[in-house]
Amino acid sequence: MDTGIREKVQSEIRKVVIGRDKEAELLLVSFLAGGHVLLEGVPGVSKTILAKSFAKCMGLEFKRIQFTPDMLPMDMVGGFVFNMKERECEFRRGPVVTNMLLADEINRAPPKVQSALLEAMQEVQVTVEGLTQKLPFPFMVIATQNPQEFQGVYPLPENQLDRFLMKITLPYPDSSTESKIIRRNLDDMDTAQVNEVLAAKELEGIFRQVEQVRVSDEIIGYLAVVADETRKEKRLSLGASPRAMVHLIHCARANAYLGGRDFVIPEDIKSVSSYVLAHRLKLDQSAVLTGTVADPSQVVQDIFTKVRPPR
Amino acid sequence: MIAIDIAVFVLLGAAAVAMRRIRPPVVQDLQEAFQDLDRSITKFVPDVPAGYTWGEAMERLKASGVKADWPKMESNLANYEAFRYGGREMPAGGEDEVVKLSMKIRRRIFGYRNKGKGSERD
Repeated sequence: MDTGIREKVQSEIRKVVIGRDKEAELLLVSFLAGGHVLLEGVPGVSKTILAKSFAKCMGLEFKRIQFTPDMLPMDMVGGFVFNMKERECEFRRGPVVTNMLLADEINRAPPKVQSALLEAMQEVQVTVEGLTQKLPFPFMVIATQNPQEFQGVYPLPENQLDRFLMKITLPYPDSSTESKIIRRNLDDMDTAQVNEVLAAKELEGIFRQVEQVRVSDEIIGYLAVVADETRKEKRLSLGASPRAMVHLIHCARANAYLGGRDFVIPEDIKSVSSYVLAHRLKLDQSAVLTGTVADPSQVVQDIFTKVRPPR
Repeated sequence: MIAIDIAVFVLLGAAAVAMRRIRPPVVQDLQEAFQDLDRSITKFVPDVPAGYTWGEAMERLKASGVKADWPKMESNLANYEAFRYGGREMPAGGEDEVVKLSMKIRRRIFGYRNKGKGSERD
């Protein structure tokens, strides 16, 4: 079992993005878990360059869509155009047909476009006027959004957020990292410096190995207790869905694989729990107003602190 | 006189209980050794939450200066986890090191209580 992938990816991404090792690791975990990621952060915290560098590391076909409020689903999934020469309509693929799609500023797209993308994420296929096209394997969407924008945006509703395996929030870097970023930007900073870490043909084998990672009954029982706690939690008005728990176990498997193990331990779950669960939970408004809680990740951490894992 | 006798007996009783508590437990295998370590951590390490994981506990103990053969402990833990969660066979050996760590945790706490903070009894 290859345990050096995480370090290789982090080292390649470090060539262009400084101080984002944890985020690079989480992207890798999501990718191996077969999920999609929502990157959230204010402008200029390296969301886009991180996504681009990661795609480059994986050596897969990469496309980017810059979402705008006037977009149509056809701009993304493709559509039929009339070929004057052949005198017939032909299907022209949209940018969604790729391995890795960067959906930049997803919350600027209107709900129709968002739902078309989310359908592609869920079904791994697109349907245009009865013609269904399978998306290539592997398929991953890395969407970005700016939490500070309130005008001209369409916030993703809960059911759509639930489709994202992880939400990774990119905070401002600390001052020493920021100094390094400023210095680095005096020189050239280009994703061309990033080398491929994995060959496309290796991926299928790796995904198969991740799927074979063992999850004991006790670990599943532990997750069921955690799910129940989120639903009983008074500070939440919406707890974790069964899909959230399935996503969590997929991430735990990928985490175990990257840790060089073929079985999941409670730590594999705990270390990604906030990223997988927090964006799906809804805080109870009375708890927010009374100042009891401000961030769902805090609730997730409290629950994992309270629930005894199998030891 | 009677009061002094009572005081002496109470002290002797407390010492006997304390000795019992710090006597190494008899364990058959690595699983029992880790179960004992779990009891020691839950009972004697302050502010450990119910949801702690083995990795977190090891980090905590290392950071608080408990001396142990950590590479050996990590290897024992990896073997135990492979058995516990990975469905492997119970590994032979390794329990002595785990019991030793468990005892250190107990003695260290007694050391804190008896001698004041910062005393390490190895």
